[in-house]
Amino acid sequence: MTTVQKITIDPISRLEGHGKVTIFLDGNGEVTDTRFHVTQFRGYERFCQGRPFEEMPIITQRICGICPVSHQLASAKACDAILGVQIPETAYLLRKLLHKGQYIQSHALHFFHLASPDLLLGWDADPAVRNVVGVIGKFPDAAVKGIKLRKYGQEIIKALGGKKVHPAFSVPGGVTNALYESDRDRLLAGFDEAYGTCQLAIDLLKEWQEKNLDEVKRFANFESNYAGLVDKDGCIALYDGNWRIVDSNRKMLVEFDPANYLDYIGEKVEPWSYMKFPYYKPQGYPKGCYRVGPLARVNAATKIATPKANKELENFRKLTEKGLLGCTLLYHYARQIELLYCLERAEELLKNPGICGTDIRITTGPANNEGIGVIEAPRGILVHHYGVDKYGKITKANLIVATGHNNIAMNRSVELVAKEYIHKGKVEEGMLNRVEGAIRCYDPCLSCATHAVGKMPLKIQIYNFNGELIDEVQRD
Amino acid sequence: MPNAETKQSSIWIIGYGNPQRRDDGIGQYAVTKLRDIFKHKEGIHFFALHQLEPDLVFELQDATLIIFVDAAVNELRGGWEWTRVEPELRSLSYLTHHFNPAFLLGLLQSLYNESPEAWMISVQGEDFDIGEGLTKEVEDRVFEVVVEIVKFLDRDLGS
Repeated sequence: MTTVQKITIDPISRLEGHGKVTIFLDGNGEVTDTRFHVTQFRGYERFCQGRPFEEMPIITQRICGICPVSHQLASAKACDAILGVQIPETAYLLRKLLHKGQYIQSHALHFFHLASPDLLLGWDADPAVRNVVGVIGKFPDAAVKGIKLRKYGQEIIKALGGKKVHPAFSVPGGVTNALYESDRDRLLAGFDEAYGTCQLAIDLLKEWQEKNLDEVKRFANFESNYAGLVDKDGCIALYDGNWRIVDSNRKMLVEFDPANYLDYIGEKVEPWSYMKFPYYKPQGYPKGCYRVGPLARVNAATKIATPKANKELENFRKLTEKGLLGCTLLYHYARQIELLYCLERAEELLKNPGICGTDIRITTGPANNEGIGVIEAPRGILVHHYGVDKYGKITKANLIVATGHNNIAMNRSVELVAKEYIHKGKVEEGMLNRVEGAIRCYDPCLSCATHAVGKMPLKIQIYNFNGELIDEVQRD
Repeated sequence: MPNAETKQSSIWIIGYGNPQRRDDGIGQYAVTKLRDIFKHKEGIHFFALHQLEPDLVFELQDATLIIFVDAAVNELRGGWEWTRVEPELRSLSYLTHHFNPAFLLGLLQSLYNESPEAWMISVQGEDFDIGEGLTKEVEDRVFEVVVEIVKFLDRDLGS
């Protein structure tokens, strides 16, 4: 008789942004399946209906406190399409600069606060010290620099939007205000330190990778498609570009205008998850699932348009030529290459003579009854798709976020780690840390919207096939 | 009501939460009211934030007193409570970008060897659904809290 046991990891006690992991074991205690569940911005697509479309960039950025800029920009692009306008050049430059600020703060936060404890202190370090405070104790200089780098990204956002979180900046047809020359000069003065910190992160990562190459090769390494936006030369494009999907060997499957995403992207609904599962339609579900985010972007792109980041990409390519293309742990390296790219791009933008221009917005009425805005959020491709009536009120809204695109990949990563560390119903030491680590590589955005006071425990419960609790592991 | 000795030099009141989830906006609403009350006072600073961020440590490194105001989902006797916040070195969740007051204090202590007096004022919310504006019951509750904070700070700031 086949019996099934169930392990549940319920890491986050929240009103929203709730995630948990369930691991199913067969009668022999071996892993048969895993499921990573996340609830994402419940109700926003419905909540927005009936609102004037001009409000969408302000409303939808509230989906998240970490990547509000991404939602605001994707929303503003969708609204530009409804207006049927091409925004002024200065507004275009300023939106791209805002976007780079978002990447800098987000990628710096991820490495120095979330990922570095795993890597610099070790997977099996005492959880009491395996956090950013532990990093401060062992690498105080790096920790302070990491916080400063994140602050630098936030300062870019504040210089443009007036505040660091939920800036009111990108609006349909352009942006709300110009950049002061004094702010431009102040931001330009910060690049030397920012580059230094980014290089420090890259050096720390590469040193760790060299020492732990076996684990890098083994850890959640699986074949998948990769999706990312690219410019006309095939370079990584974060604000706009074509949507490219490549296979597990980086062979191109398709490249299309994001406005036509419905022709290529389907969304599967599974009964056990609130999230939808996007996939590449011609391959069907689940074969057509793909990964997004830093690893996917560097794998999908031909090259990077800025010199320092492209040089680092060449090092990355040498590494991945050795069968490491699908290594989930390489998300961290790819993320730091992107951080370097964003610094270079931000510096270019700030040195552009047009960056302090004042022609920043076109005002007009809606010309189209539909608008699609697609950008690369730090965690991957973000789609905002709106329909409006003749008065400009929202009649439909469809949002696809990076954590949704990566849904199947995160499930697969958890499954691979669980299969390595659970045998005969026994959870090996270190399994919990590594499941966390596998999910963390994708940097899923679980911090949206409402929060609750209190700790967020990580719990594994093991049930036998009769539903009886036979073991429990918890960390507060 | 705490009985604390506070210095006047650098007081920070930080209200945080999501005002588009109705009563989750308690913290920001309270700060708006307090900022207005104390607009002519020196040495007192305000932040109304969606969430706490690690780079706040650069602003708070000289703080002598920090008061956090946030919504609580659990039931509280009288609707709100003061809790002393101590530096916590282990409270950063592993899968989130969420930072809590104790962790911020832990960062301050770790980075700058500073441990300012800190209080969390939790105010019980009633409705966390999508929407703007506090419920009437909670608005009244915040008014009580604002009065208590003013009394507490008047001891240090003078009338």
